[in-house]
Amino acid sequence: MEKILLMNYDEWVAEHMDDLVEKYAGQVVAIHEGKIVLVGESERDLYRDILARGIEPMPLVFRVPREEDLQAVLRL
Amino acid sequence: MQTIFQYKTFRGRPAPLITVGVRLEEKWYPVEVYVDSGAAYSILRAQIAEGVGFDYRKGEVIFAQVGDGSFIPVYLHDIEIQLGVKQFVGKVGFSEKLGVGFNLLGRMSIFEQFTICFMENDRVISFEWSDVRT
Repeated sequence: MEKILLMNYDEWVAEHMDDLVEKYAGQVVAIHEGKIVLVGESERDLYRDILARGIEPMPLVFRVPREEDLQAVLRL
Repeated sequence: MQTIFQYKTFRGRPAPLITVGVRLEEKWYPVEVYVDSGAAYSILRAQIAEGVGFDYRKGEVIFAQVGDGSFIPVYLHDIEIQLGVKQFVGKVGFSEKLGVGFNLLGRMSIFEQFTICFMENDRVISFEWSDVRT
């Protein structure tokens, strides 16, 4: 896949992480062309929706971390 | 060939979360992973595989120990991974029991292929590919 697409997603999430955590902690979001286009409870449902709609380029599906998720990885 | 990622700041705390690509069922998917030098395997949430129609249960099953000391089933596959511009085949596991909210990028197939530097003061992580090791 295009490196620029990966890096764009990486930069977008870095820039918007605080907003994402504030609004969507524990939920799954699909990010496409600089916008959140889908929000749901599971990666499974969002990917199925994305593939059914034929959204391209492939969105980044991201489970927005909760406070306890960070605590968990810091303990690993 | 070096790729540098900024740490992502989570409520004021920086974390090495990066975006990589994985190829499943002939399509590339960007996924967010936590770079975890303490994890032997890269593990993605099984819901990703279920959503894209990838039968992850066909993989070799292993039991990986997680932070609380328990063991979780992980189904391992050889999968194409993209990190920066570099595409390569590596071991990736899927688990429905991954308790932590993050997908994990562990050592196997990753730390063997790249020289990885966590620069905590600069809040960046660099990956340098070495063809010597391929």
